[in-house]
Amino acid sequence: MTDSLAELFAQYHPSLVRMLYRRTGDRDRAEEIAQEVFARAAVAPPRNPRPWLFAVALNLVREQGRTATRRGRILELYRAERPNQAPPADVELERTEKIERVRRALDTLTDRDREALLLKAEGFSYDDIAETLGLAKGAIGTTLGRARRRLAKAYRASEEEREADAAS
Amino acid sequence: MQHLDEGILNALVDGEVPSSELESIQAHLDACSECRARLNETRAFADESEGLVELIEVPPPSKPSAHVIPGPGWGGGRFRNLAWAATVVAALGIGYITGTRPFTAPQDVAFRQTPVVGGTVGDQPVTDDLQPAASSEEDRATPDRAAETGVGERLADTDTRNAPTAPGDPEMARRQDTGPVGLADARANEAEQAPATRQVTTGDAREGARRERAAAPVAAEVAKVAAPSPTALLESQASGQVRALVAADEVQPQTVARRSTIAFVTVTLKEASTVLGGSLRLIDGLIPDRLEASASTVRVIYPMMGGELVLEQRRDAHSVIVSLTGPTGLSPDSLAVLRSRIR
Repeated sequence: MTDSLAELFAQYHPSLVRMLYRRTGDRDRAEEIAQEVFARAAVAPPRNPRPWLFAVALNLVREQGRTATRRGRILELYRAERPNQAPPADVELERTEKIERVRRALDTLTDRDREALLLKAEGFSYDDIAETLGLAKGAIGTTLGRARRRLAKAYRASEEEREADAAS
Repeated sequence: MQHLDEGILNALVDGEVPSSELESIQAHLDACSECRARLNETRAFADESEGLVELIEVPPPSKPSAHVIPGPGWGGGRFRNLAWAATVVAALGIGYITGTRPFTAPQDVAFRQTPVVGGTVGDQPVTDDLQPAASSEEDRATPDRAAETGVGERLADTDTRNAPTAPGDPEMARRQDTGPVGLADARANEAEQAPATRQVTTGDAREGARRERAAAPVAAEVAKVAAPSPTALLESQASGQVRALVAADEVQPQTVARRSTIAFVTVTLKEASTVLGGSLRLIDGLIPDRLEASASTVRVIYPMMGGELVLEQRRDAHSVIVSLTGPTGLSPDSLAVLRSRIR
C-alpha cells in the first residue's frame, strides 16, 4: 500500500460514510461500519484501496441484514425531534418526506443495482464499480441503466401517489 | 440494423465508451432516430437518479462522536447512546420509590405521576404484564454494564438519597403530580447544597419539555411516512432474546401497584433499542408518541383513547420482559388484541 492509513482515511472516509448512510439510512451505523472498514485496512492494507474499502463496507452492510436499514430510517425521523437540529418545520417535513420517498424508491432496486448506483454517485468509474461489486465491467452499463430507470420510475410513481392523495 | 443496447447507452452517458468504439457508435446514432431518443431518455434517467440519490445527505452528528472501533454486542459506539441517557438520569438526581410497597396515593394522581396509565375494570387496574413484575432492584443496571459506565453506581447513589417517602407525605404527592419537570423545580430548594446538579437538572428538564412539544409533529410525520407498513419496517428487528409472550390468563393485576417509579428520560428509537440490546418491540399498526428509557427499561408510549398505551420492555441478564398496559377504559379483550400485534 502506498498511502498511509491516515491518508486513506482523509481521502475516502467522507465518501464511504456518505455511501453507507445512503445505503443504510443510519448515520451512526454508517460511521461504525466505516470505522470497522478502516480498522481492517490497518490490519491488512489493500493494494487498490478504494474498491477494497467500499467492497468491505458493503459486505458488512449485507452481513448485518436489512433490519437495521429499516430501523435506521425511523431513527432518522425520530432524530428530527432533537431541538438543536430542527430547521423550520414545514421545510424540513417536506424535505424529509421527499428523502423518504427516494429511500423507498431505492428499496425497489436489487442490492446490486442499488450499490452500483450509490458507487457511481461517489464518482466510481465502471472499472472500480466492477471491482467493488465483483462484476464484469461490461455488465456495469446495463446494471446502472436498469437501476436508474427503476429508481426514477419508482420515485415518479410515489410522487403521483402523493399528488393523488393531496387532491382527494 | 442492430440498435445500441442499454449498456452502451449508459456507458455513453457516463463517458465510459472506449475511444476506439466511439466512431461506429456515433455513426449509428446519426442514422438511427430511435437510438437517439433512447440515448436522451437514458441521459434523463441518469440525471434524475443522480439528483435523487444526492438528496440523501449525511445528517450532522446528533451528539459529539468519537472514532471508536465498535466491539461486538453491547459496547463500542452504540453504548455511548445509553451512557448519554443514563448520565442524564443520574444528573437529574431522580430516585425511585421501591416497587415492593403498594402505592397508596389516589390512582389518578399516581397515573399522572408515571407515564404508565393502567386501564381499569371496576376498581381493578388492568395490566397485561407478560412476565411477573420485577422488583425495583431488577430495574437497576446490571453489574457488568454498571462497571462499564458507572451508571449503576450513580443510580444506586441516587436511590439512597431519594429514599421512599411515606405514602401520605404531601411532598411526595406534589412530586408525583408534577412529574420529572416539576420534580426538578421541587428540588430547587436543594440548590445551596448542590448548585451544579441543579443547573444540569433544570437544563435537562427544559430539554425534556421541548422534546415533548416536538414529539407530536414528529410522530405525525412518522405516521405519514411509516403508516403503510410499520410491520414491514420492523418485521425482523426483534432478536431471539425476547421471551415468549404468556397467555392472557397469566395477567397479574397487581403489577401497577408494584411498578417502580424509576426515572425515565425521552430517548430516540435507537437509544431505546440500545438499552434493550437491539431487541426493541413495537405494536404493529400503531405509531409511537414517544419512547422513554431508564438504565434497563424502555417504554414505548402510544396515544390512545385520551390516555396512553404503554409497551414496557425491561432487560435483565438473559432476556427482555415485555408488558403492555392500556389506558383507562380499554377492555381486556382490546388489550389482548393489541398484545397479539406486538412485533
